[in-house]
Amino acid sequence: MDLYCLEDFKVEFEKLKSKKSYIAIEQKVINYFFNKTSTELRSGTRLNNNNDTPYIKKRLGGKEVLGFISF
Amino acid sequence: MECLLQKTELTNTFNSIRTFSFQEKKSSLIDEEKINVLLDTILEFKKEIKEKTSKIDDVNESIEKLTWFNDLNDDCLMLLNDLISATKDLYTSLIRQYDSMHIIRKKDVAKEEIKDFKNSIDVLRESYEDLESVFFYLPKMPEFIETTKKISLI
Repeated sequence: MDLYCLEDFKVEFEKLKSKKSYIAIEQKVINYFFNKTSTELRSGTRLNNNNDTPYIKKRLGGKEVLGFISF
Repeated sequence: MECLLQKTELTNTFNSIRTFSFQEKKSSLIDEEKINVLLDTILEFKKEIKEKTSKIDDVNESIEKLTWFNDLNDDCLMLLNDLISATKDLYTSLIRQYDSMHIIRKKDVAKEEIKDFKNSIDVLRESYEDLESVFFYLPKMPEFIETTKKISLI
């Protein structure tokens, strides 16, 4: 499965990864997004009013780590 | 004379210890019944707080599902606005309850249960804030519109 992201996401992700409290973020992203069905991925709070390209807020690990996904 | 006084003092002390010793021999080290009542109360408190946390989680899940509704008319938006207000009200009551538990928290009683309760309350707050953003604020926010456009082009 290929995952795509915006440049802004990459910058923010790298910034978070370097922080001690977010040391597990990379593994959390891998565990959360890989080998999942589209139904599983299409869950969470949808922020935009669009079913074709939903912009979803994801809770990756408790309340500390948040991510966004779009299809 | 002095010897008589000492003898009296000794006898009094002896009697006091003798009575105390006899009473303690008859009673157990701890009052089992009282301990059981205390433990039962703690268990009941844990059960109640777990049930409440589960109810909050259900509300959070229901609110999350509402964000997938499309093209709501003004009647629905008004209903949604009332729902957001009711949820804010619920949040205020729950966070007051959490604050009132500070003595129990200090004693480390039901530590995990109270922690889960607080997490669910925090998510509840985030849920109604998200609901408000999704239907009332984000659709009008230029930066958000721009980002969603960029993502849809990936």
